[in-house]
Amino acid sequence: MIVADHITKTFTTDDGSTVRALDEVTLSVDEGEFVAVVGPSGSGKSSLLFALGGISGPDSGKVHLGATDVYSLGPSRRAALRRTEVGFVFQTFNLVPWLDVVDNVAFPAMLAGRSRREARSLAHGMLEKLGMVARARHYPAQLSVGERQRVGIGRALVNRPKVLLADEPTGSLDSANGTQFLDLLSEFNGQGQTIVVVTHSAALAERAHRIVSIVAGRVTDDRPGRLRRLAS
Amino acid sequence: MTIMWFALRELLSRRGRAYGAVLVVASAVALSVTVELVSRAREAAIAIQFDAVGPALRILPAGASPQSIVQEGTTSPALPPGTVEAVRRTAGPALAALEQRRVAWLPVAGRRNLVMWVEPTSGGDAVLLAGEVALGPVLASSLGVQPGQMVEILGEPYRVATILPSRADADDTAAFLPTAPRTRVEAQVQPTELRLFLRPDASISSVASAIEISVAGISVLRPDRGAVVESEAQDALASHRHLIWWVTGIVSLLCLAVASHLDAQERRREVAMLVAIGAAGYDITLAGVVRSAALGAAGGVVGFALGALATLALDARAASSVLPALPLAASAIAAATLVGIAAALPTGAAAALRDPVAELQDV
Repeated sequence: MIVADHITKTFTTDDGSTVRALDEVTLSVDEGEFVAVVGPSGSGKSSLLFALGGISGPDSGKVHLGATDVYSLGPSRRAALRRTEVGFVFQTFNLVPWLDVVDNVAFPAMLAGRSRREARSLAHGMLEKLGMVARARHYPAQLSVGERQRVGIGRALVNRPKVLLADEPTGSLDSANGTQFLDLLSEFNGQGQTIVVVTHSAALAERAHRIVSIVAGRVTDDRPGRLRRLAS
Repeated sequence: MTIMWFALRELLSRRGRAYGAVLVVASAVALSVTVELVSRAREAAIAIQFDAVGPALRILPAGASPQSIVQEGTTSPALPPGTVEAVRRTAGPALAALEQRRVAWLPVAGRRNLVMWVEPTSGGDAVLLAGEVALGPVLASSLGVQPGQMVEILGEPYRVATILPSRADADDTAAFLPTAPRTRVEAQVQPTELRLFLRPDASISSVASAIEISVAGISVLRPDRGAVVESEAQDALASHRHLIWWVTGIVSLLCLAVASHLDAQERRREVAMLVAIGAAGYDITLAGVVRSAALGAAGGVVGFALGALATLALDARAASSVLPALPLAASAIAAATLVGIAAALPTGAAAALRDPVAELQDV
């Protein structure tokens, strides 16, 4: 489904020094798999996630989404790929504060070429799945953090992407909301959604099929999570 | 369409800044529109004044002296019946050509002054010979010249043939030159003299080169008097109009560029989110351009309205020039919109090129 093949990524910091965020990382995620990427801060987890999602290309190596070499595409076609094949969830939600919940969820569908009416209809369907219909006309500032993250996941999945990428999705949630969110991810994964999550949360990681550890830009461990262990 | 919808909703999310930007653009546009409309009103007023001056033709007996220039009246009773009609019939098609290029502001003794050309002779009696000039009394007094003395006009010496009696109007400040002999042919209606009243657009700055008379025996006089003076002021205003339009454009451009830059800085996170959910670079640029163009267009609309109101407040004559200036309104709005687009393109393009990762990770 999604493959990172020997990808390397370096950054130049404000003081001019160079940091190797990813160092020859190779990772393969199968369709329907739930993979947690764990590691200390600055280890390159998020860089890997953004590279997998077609946002920030590696300096070397390749990323394939299905049969597509993501970074061989031009910027416009890569943007189209992000619209339809990839959904992102962020720690700080990144919702649009001046759009109500239904428009926040509908917006990626509109961007993908659907009419506003059609997109809002899709968004309503998604909000029903998320138990958020009653909040459809509310604005992000009127929601709890748990609700905002649900809206975030609704926005990420409204275009039915092949893969859901989440960057510390429970990092801003309290324990109860975090658990609810994990249940939601598990539910979508149970429906066949491929998920890659970057997290510090052991609880979240344990829900995954696989736990991939990254330290200093290198994959140091790749082991089954609780779901896989239970399944086996 | 989605990006335009998004951009406009985004614009409304920061109304304070949007209102500020619109206000600046509107003020600049209003200034230009006011100057333009007042100018047009003055032009129209001059045209009306000229149209109301009197008949287009004045027929005088042969041998009329320079003093007859100041005589009032439309038709001399000494002329045979039907003369006016005969002259009109004969010379009519060429009258339009005569209406132009008979008055100029030219250097007289080193000073810019109203100069009118009149036919040098009338029915064989010399009125003004070649190389002679008739001066209005105010001009003569200011130059300190008497009949028979020389005065330099257009770099050429002219002998002062006569000083006209005062009319207490612009003629008093004018110099009257004879038309060049080459322009004369025999009058077709004898023994009469045809005098035309020129229109205000007999242009003040482009005259000196070509004075051509295609109808014979015609003396041209311009009884526009005070309006000519206003016409000169109008010329000066017209030159400032262009300057004001340029200043308006530059001020609006700077204002919208600053607003776009601030927007781009403040919306980095939104831009990063847009990239993450699949917006292409041109979508990001378009969003900025749409916002700025909307501000420019709104500034243009409000500016024209304010300018029209200010015009009415400043000059009652301008009321009639507002409605006919609707094409000007369209131009002002279009120009303000284009300025908005130009102001946002660089910042929009820069925002599209920025790596969104830092903003997406920023907690």
